[in-house]
Formats: sequence, C-alpha cells, structure tokens
Amino acid sequence: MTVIDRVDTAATPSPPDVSLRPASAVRLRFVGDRGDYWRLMIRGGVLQAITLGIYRFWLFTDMRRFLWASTEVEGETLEYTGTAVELLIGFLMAIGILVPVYALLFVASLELGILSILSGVVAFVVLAGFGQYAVYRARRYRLTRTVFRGLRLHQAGSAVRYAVRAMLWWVPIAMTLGLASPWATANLERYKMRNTFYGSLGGSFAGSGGRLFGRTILVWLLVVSPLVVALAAAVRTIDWVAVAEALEDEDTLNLIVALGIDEPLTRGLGLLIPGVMWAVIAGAILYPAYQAIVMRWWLGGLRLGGTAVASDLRMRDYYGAYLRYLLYVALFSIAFSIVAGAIGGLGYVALRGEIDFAHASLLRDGLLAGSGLIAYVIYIVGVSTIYQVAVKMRLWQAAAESVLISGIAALDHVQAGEATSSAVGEGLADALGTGAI
Amino acid sequence: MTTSGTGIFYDGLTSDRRKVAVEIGGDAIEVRAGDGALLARWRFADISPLAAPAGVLRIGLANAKAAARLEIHDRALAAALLAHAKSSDRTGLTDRRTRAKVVAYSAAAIATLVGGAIWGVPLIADRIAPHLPVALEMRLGAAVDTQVRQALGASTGGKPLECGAGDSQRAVAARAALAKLVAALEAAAELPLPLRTLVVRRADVNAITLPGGRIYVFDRLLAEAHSVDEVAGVLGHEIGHVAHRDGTKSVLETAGLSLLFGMLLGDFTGGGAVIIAARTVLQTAYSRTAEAAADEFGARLMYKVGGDPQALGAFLLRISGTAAVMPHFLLDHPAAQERADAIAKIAQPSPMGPLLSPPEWEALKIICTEG
Repeated sequence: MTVIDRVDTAATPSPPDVSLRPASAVRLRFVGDRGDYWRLMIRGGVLQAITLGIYRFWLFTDMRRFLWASTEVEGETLEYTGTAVELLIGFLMAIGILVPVYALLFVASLELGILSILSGVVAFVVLAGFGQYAVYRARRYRLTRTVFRGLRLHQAGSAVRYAVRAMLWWVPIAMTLGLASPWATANLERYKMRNTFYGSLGGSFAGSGGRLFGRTILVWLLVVSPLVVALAAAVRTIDWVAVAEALEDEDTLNLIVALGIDEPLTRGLGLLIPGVMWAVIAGAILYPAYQAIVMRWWLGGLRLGGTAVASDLRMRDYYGAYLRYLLYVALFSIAFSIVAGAIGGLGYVALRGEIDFAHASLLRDGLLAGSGLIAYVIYIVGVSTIYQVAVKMRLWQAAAESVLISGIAALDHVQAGEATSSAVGEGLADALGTGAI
Repeated sequence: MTTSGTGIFYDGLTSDRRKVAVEIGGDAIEVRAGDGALLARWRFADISPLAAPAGVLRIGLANAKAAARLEIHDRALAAALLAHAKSSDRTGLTDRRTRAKVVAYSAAAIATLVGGAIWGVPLIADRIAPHLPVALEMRLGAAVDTQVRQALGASTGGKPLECGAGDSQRAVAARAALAKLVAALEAAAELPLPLRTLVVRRADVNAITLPGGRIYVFDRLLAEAHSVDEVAGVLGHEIGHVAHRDGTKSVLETAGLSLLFGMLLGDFTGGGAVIIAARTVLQTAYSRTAEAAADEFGARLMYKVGGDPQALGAFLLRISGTAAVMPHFLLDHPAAQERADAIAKIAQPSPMGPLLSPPEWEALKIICTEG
C-alpha cells in the first residue's frame, strides 16, 4: 500500500506531544480505511486466480503493510518492511527442503514395508514438526520486518526447541481431550515472548494457563464434553461382538439388515449422532466467543520491558464480524447466481448454432467443464475476499482497538538491537499451510 | 514551493522521538534538531518512501541497516519533498508496473510448468523408471497389493478371491493351463522382474497390473473371451505394463504432478478445483500414452509367441459396446476402435499353432467355477 500519492488530499493529524502524555493507559488506534483494504483484497483475489496463486506473496505483503500501517500506538504507526520477493525466495527454498523430505518419507514408507498406518503417522509427525519449526521462523521474519519508531523488533530463541516443545505438548493435550491446551498455549507464548525484543527491550508473557482454562472451560463443557459423553455412552451401549459378527457377512444387503435390527447399535448411534451434531453446531456458534476470549487473554499477557498490555475486547465485535460476513456472502451469492445464470444463458443462445448441446462432444464437454471451473473459482475467490475484509480485518481492528498500554514511557529511550533474518520459515509455513498474517 | 518545515525524526539507534526542522536543499534533505545541530542529511537519490497511514509521509534510507525514519505530517512539505525525490512513487506507477511484471512472469512460469507437466514429467519418468531398483517396485507392489486385495475381496460373495487354488483335479488342470500360457508369454517378453498372474472372482471384463509384476485377471474376462488368443492378448497388454515399469512411472508422474500442481501452482483459495482438473486431464493423458504403448508391446509379444495379435483388438471392440461414454480428455484408455486400429497396424496374424490345446483352454475358462 503506497499511500504517498494521497498525501495531498488526506487529513494531516499531528502526533500527540509526548511531554503532555497522561499517566494513564494509552489506547491503540486503528487508522486504516476499509475501502482501501477492499480494493487491495479484490485486486489481490483476481490476480491470485489469474496467476494460479503466485501473486499471494505480493498480496500478503500488501496486506501486512496495510495492517501494520493502520495500527497506531500514540500517534505512531507500525511499519512493515518485508518484501514479496523475500517471501517468494523463502518459498522456493522451502520447496527445496520439502521435496527431498517428501521423497525420503515415501521411500522410507516402502522400506519399512508398512505403507498403511505407521508410515502415515511418521510422515504426520515429521511434517507437523516442520510446521511448528516454520511457525517460529515465520514469526521471527515478521518481527524483524516490523519497524516502530526507527527500531526493529526481533526474536531470539531456537525454532527447533520451539518445535520440540510444541510437539511434546500434544501428548498431554491428546490425553486430556484438549483440557491441557490452555497451559500449552501459555507455555508456548511465554517462550515466544521471552525471546521477543523491541530493540534491546525484552518481552515477556504474563498470561497464565490456569486463567485461560477458567475462561474457556465453559466452551469445552458445551462443545467437547457432550461429544465425549456421547462417544463413551455409544461405545458402552453397542454390542461390539454382534457388530463384528454382522460385519463378517459379505453380502451388503444382509449386512444392512443385520445392523438395522441390531438394537444396541441403533441405540448407540442414537446417542452418538446427536452428540456429534451438537458439537458441530455448538462449536460453530461458540467459535467467535472462543476466539475473542483467547485473544483478550493473549493481549492481556503481553509485556515489553515495563510496558504492559490490557484488553477490553468485546465478544459482540467478533460476532458482528462473522454475522456481517454471512450477510455479505448471502448477498454475493445471489448476485453471483444472477450474473452467472445470465452469462450462461446468453452463452447458450449465442453458441447454440455452433455446438450441439444435446450430445456429448469434446467441444461441449470441454466448454462446460471449463466454464464450470472458472465460475467456481470466481465464486470461491469472491467469498474468500469477503472473509478477508469482513472477518480478518475486522477482528484485527477489534483486537487492536481493545488494547490499552500502560507504562508506555518504557518505549521512549530504547536502544537498537539485532539485524534481520531470512524468509525461509515463512516459505515453509506457506508450503505447509501453517502461515498466518 | 515550501522548502522547510517540521517533522518527526527517529535516528534508528534509539526509539527517541525528536521534533525536527526539515529543510529541502539542492540534492538532499537536511534534518536538524531544535538547537540547530545537523541530525541527518539524506540525498534524494537514496530516499525511499515507506508504508505509512494516509496523510503521513514516511521516508527512510533505501538499503540502510538502521531503520532511521523521518515522518512528515505537513502535506505541503511532503509534496515538495516528493517533487524533489525523483525516485519516489508518487502516482503508484511503480506499483502498477511491479504488478504487471508479476502477472507477466507468472504467466510465463505457468506456461513453463504446464509444458513441463505435459511433456517433461512423462519424459523424466520414462528416463528414471528403468534405473530405479526392481526391489523398490516389488515393495511398492506388495503394499498396493494388500489394498487391492481388500478392495477386490469385498465383492466375492464369501468365496475366496483367488480362483483355482484348490487341490481338485480341475483346479490343478486350470492352474497348469494358466501357467503354461503365462510362461510362454513371459519367456518371450524378457522382463526385468518375475510375473505373478492370478485369476480372481470379479464381475468386470478387465485385468489389472500392479507394480512389481502382479497381474490380476478377472474371471468375467475369461467368460467373455471367445478364444485363448483374446485372453493371451490381454495378458500381453498387461505384460507390456510390467515391461515398461508403468507402476514405477506412475508413482514418479504423480510425484511430479504434485510438485507442479499443488506445491508450485494452485495455492490459493479455490485453487483446489483447478489442481484437480489439471491433474485429472494430465494423468489420463499419461495413462492413454502408457496404454497405447502396452497395446503395442502386447501385439508384438503375441506375434513372437505365434498367437493372433489382432484378437485383442476384436475383443476390445466386442466388450466396449456397453461402456459408458465419457469425454475423450477424461478417458484413461484410448477408445476401443482407436486401439484396435493401432494394433492392426502393428502386427499381422501369424498363427503357429494354438497357445493352449482345446482341453487346456476349457480348463482355464472354468477356473473360477470351483473353490
């Protein structure tokens, strides 16, 4: 986002005089223009589709430049200095790392002789480990590309250690059906923030796992526990011996009949299916609340030297964003159907003379498949663009505007710190799908 | 035109915020503290405008290690500064050029990658496959075999998947007939790995070859065949897949396609459909090439062992009558007529005597009628 060309027309706010700063907390401001972001994202979506995704490095860079520059601390905005070419190079290097890894995993799966379950688990663990490694490296890249008041942020610590730590946490999380996850989150955040620096000023994380647990346990009880109970009840109810015997029958019809009259089985499924449906519906309804709770807790734990962050994030802002998204998608879908129907109808009328639509031919099938594909891509890109603006940016804005910083004087005389790092981690995160804004 | 004003300056060494006097000189901008001390002198040529919120001009030195920044909120001064700094992007022109370049280079990259997918991937798979150890293909075959047997075994109505496994006289005779037929073809084919051919209970007129030389002939195919040459023709075609290492090639081609469509291209929301479409079209094209090559191999093999190479073509035409009509670009085999014509061109009939005696042929045909 180059806003230089708009200097002449835009308002010219003055930064507040530091000497007159109130002793109380300072609120973050979000100063971005939503129209600018819409333009950025629509253009980016179109170019992504045209370039089959290659444009994403430029789009992500534009997004970050916008979001960083829109986030203002005491009259001074953040600045994102990363470039798209760095991301592209990082991605290509990540491919260079991942292709041999994939090849090795494939050969290993053959050499181990167990193509089915075990090698899948090994591959999952290896790639998940890479994913966590990438998360940490990507965070380092983004921090070193963030400038505030003439100084860069940076991140120390080891990505390998972080990945090991993150993966070790999976064991208790899995064993407690997710109940341990608040402590995992707190522990990983502590590692990240302890290694985060603004110039020479070190960060820390004050959020506690216990507190996050206390705030999210209701969500867990409403979403996960009914599922667990239903699953346990179903497992106890179903007569597994009878089911196993029924499954022995090769004839599908007999099998269906046998399972249909298996009363414990139907009763078990009668418990399980409502449990799953409840979990899905409650999960979808409570997801924004959960996101808001975690974000508020996370923001409230951030510390940088003597600076402390508090957040008064409201759930209704998050719900508002999602509801608006649903509304926009509904409107977009109606508009899309009308336009696509009109184009399809006109195309049919125009080409009726040339193509025999009643009979299969290469031309007809190719045309139908091709236009169907294009319509699908346009629709999905449209929905995703709406999501980026209506949800992603709104959530960013709501989170930023909820932040209250106390002790901001600690940021006044910080010395410069370390230099930059490469974008390989970003590339890995991108290739493995663990990237974020 | 304004040549001086005020700004906010960060020297890149500390986070101290300084209110400064800014003066535009001949070829540089000078930044002075309140007491007149010179803090920085930046040549216009070195200045680059940076991301900033609307209404603020933020500049720094291009390629500098420290992130020194000057911010100007006075729009007249900002405009004057930009007028001097020629390298700056006042109209967004550079941005637009960059985007145009990205699109152009992406188009070139897509063209190259699609070309690579159409010609490069099968070519590379062709060259590499013969050099990969046979043992690797055997292991791959063993793994695939487990899954295929599970899939096939689900619809045998309780009977064993494999036909002719019993000890009855008929089973022994049927096995011997199959072994004789396969042995004749295998000897002539000079394969890099041993064949393992089985007849299985399956109600499709088909035969499949797995990596590692495993061939499964479906019993319905035996039932529909009018002569031993038709079955031998099918076996010759399947042996062609083994000889060409098509199992290994297909793994290499799939890996190559995953790299091109999935890793390098198509990573955007909605890209999944594009990837599936591209891969389906390309993979079926690879497959059609491999099938045509296997037909050719089979026909030559039949000629060598003295069978009728044309029998496969006739058989294909007879059984294709009921097949569903699919667009050509989605077929993984060439159309039956196309295949029969191609086979007819390759080899003329050269009967040297039947591959199996009538009693042997009868024994083979009923291999699945008993457990």
